[in-house]
Amino acid sequence: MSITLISKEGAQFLVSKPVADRIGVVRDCAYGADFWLGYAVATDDSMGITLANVTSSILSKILVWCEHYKDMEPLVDGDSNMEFPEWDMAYIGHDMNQILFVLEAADYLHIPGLLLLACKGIADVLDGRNPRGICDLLGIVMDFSHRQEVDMDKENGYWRWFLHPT
Amino acid sequence: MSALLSLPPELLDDLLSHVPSPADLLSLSLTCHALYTATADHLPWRRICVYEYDTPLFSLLSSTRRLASQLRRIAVNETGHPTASHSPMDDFSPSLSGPAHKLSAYRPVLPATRDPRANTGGVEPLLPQVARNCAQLEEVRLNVYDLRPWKGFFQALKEEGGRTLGRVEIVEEPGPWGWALGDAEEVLELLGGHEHFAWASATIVQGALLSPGKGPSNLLPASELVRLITTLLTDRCPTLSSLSLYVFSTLNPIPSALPTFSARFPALRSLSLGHVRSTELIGTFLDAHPLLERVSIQCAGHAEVTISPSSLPLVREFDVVWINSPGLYTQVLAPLPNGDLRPLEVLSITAGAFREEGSVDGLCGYLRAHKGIKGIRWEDTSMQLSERLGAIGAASPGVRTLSILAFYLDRRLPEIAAALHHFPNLEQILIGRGRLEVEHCADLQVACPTLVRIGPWERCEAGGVDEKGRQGLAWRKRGRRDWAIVNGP
Repeated sequence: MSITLISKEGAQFLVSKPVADRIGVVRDCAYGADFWLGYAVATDDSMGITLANVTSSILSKILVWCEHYKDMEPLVDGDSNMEFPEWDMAYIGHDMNQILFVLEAADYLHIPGLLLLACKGIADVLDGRNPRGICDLLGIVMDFSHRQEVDMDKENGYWRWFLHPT
Repeated sequence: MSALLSLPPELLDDLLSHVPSPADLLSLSLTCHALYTATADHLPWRRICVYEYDTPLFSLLSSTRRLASQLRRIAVNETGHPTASHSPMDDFSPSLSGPAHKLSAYRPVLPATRDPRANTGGVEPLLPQVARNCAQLEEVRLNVYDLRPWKGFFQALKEEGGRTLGRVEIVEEPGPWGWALGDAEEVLELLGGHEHFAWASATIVQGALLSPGKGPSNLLPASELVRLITTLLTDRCPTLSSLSLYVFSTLNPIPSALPTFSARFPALRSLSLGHVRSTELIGTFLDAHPLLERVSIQCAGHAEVTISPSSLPLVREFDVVWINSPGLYTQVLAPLPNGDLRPLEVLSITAGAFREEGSVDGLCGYLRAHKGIKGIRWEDTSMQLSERLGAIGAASPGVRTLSILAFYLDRRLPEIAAALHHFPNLEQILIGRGRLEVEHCADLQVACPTLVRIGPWERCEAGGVDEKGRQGLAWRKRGRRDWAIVNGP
């Protein structure tokens, strides 16, 4: 059995059940609905499920992850220092904007394993950057006044020593 | 706008909780106002977990006002780690000494002796100044052997005037001595103004009361402590939103909570009471608290508890167990007078209330209408009523989590497996008390192929081969690297 997913732009992706099972909302919608409604909303590939918030490029990237994990259990919980397999880290990459889109889509589509991986990817990209570097990376405009910066320096100064003892 | 800033707040919060480096969190917080606000709760010095005998750290907090004034939440427990929390409240921050948010200059201390009271001796004189310095403290979670050193802490907070803690959690770490009732009363006298309050102590012993003439003198210590806590909450916590109370002792294992069930907390949304004597007043109490979303009461006894048709209109989790009133479960599942259903997501059922043949039919009739129930907790210590569980599964196909409280679980596998046939979408079984080995997982998984977690075991990839060449499903103990293959279907 397969199912058609339709991206924000209307592009269609035909995926098998094990791949679709990795996507929480698709699983609920296509296979879970039969006991709520008495029938499944999409039981064959003649019907499609529209994922209105996911672009074609992000959906195709997400389907690569789902294909990889169709027969394996991904990591779905753990602390912020957990280690991911090499394939996962190569997959998520270092393109901050793309990872953010994957994060948002993984949240929207209910894919906890991919959500966790995207968080890990973002943390890795941020690693070791100073505030100015983060602003440049993410296009953030620093909106603190000089006075506020002084106050924050005072607040964090002591602890900064703990973080970077010299 | 930056893609990061356009994330929904809850997703941004989730993301920040996965940034392991405090230095990176600090850098993020110093980029703009929005991230400064969003990272505040994640900065490690805003919320810390410490050991109750950590004299160097308490000494630091008492001597450095500027540093202590940044603290918002503090958890003190035996492990120095957030997982020590007894309740399913939200997770606390990583510990200072753990790998997650390690501060370079911080070194964890080891207890000097095996005597908890001797170890906290150095901390006690520091705590009043710590309280005065922690000017923005909002939350205190104590999981401690010795309550007495903290009297000075709460006394200093009270003397600061107008300062209140939003959340207070006080839990006894079982040790060589029980907590004296008089000490507990002294601490309670110093509290007030909280929205979230939790107290758990298992060995409360009779001690000299400050004001023995104030209450009934013949009450047993745990019952008396429940009365004292209720007085605190009704007199000085008018906006109380969540209450968790687990108080008992060997002398008084099932205390009376009559004062609590007679009290009224107008803003109460979450109630968790453990080990209390059942009384008809439970129904009256529930009727009088329409904002309750989560109700958990373990009540022993034979009192007939009923609620009115319009009771608990917002309840999502109904966990009232050890009760012999089948009518209570049907009443909470029945539609409200306006025809709406209660938004139930989790329901606990005591099997013993449905011993009579056919008694579960009415419950199942109502259960079929509740499509939102995702979790069932089945309280059946002997597991002799598993057949009823099957009927309940058939009536609630949306259930994904089943929690079983039973002794001798491994001896009742055929009955449980037969019941599991009726749960088409069950993903996990949580086990309370009963023992379950990895060999049992295969039997249960045959009955319910959708299962991925059973007790401590979770399913790994299929098709593994064990050292004897047997093929089957692999089950791994959660939190451990080792795993086992058992014969599968």
